[in-house]
Amino acid sequence: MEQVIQGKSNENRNPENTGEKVVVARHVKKAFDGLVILSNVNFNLHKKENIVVLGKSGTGKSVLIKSLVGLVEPDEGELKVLGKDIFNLDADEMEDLRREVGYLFQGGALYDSMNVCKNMEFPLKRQVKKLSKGEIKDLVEESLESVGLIESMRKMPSELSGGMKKRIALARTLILKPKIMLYDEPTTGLDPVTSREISNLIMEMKEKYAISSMIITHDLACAKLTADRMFILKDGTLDIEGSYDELEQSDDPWVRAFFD
Amino acid sequence: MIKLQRKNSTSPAKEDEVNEEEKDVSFLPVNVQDFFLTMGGLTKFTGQFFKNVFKPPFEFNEIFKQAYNLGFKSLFLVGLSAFIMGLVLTLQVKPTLVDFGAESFIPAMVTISIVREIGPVLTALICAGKIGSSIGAELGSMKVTEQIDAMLVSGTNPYNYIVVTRVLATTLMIPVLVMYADTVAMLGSFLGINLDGDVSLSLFTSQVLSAIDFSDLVPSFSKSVFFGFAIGIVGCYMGYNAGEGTVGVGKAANSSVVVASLFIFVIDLLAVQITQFFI
Repeated sequence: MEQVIQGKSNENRNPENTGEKVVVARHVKKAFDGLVILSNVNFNLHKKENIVVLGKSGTGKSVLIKSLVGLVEPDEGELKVLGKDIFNLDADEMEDLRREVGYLFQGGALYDSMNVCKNMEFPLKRQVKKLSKGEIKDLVEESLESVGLIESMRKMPSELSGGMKKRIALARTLILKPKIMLYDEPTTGLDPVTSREISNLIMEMKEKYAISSMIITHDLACAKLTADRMFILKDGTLDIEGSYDELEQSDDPWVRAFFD
Repeated sequence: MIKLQRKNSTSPAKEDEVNEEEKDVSFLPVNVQDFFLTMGGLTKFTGQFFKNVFKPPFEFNEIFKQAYNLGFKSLFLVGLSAFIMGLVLTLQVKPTLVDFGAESFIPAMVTISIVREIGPVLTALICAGKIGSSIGAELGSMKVTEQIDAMLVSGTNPYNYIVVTRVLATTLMIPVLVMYADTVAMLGSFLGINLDGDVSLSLFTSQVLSAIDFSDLVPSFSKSVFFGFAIGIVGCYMGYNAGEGTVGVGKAANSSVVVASLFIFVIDLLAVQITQFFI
């Protein structure tokens, strides 16, 4: 059994994941009003790999994934997403990059004023210009079928449960066929059955579309199902890394606190 | 939206500089600082509007939808208020003018009051309350529930889709509502005259039309355009910059009404000065 690595750079140690790096983060730092949130974040995300980031509330997990799509600007470091250095992108280039990176928000972030069908069509109509109405309809139906909610097409977001909102938000994100998916606490606030369904969906999408994913969660069941590698965010770094089993068997009191 | 350029990043050194600048104005009361911060932010936000308004994609469907939601759905409220205002104004001035034997001047006097001042300002204030608060609350709620961020990360410019469409809709619809309010207020006035009098609609109409001319209509229409723009841009700014949680949404809605109403009076004052200069 490999030991949990602490205080070392997070180069990938899994022989299966030595492929193309889709995200490279080096020495990423971020502070808000002098309060350091990320002090030295280093990690790689490889093609068709799922990494899970655990961490206490308020430690900067959401800040970390938001920085990958430019919702938060890191103060220092190197951050390359799909080979592009996000520090040097102008607004148009950032918009192009965002089309290749899906983001599932904690609450789903469905547009309240639109029904499910219009929510699904919204990114398609704006990003994929040459689609006919029939093609858009087919894509929407296919995506909703993949999350098992085709019957909810005409419903408004206010008529959906938390789990349904998350599944539809996932379908809306995946309709653009992103290369990378970022999940911000995908199972928070859901019952164990729905949480398992969402976790299974994440795995299905990975297999079906060969997506690389970064999953922020507190939910160990979700982490166990979805993680190829796991990180624990502590003191603004991702120095604690390992597989689920490795971390589960760690003697480190900080790590144990998550599993006990 | 955060622009991702290293040169814009906040390094510790830059943070110190910012703190120094903040110290320089710290002798001002907090309310005054807030006022200037809001005005500065609003000016920048308006600049962003003009930068984006000519930038494709043009969301025509959304503009029509907003024009319908913000304009058509305000018809009843604006119409009823204007009707009552026309009626009340007539009833108020009638005894005095009757005493002076100038009853025949009532249509002309009410028309000029309504067209030049009461119609535009009353309509704008009603819309600041109804439309401004609704825009502020809607955008605030979208921000708090991360819907604006969701648009951004899906590669859609939320400013174009959310702000430009609403500001254009209010800028186009407020002048239309003002014209509608003026007309309905005249009907109220007609009723007020005929409660204890006998004036035909054709005589009333001819007196109204002879009382107003181009120099009354143009300033009224022009300031309505600015009122509409102010209501839209203030509502969007407050909503787009709402704080976290339900408190933030409530504050955004409230500030939208207060600041937009203040702007309406300032624009009105400037419009009167400019009108007097030219006419």
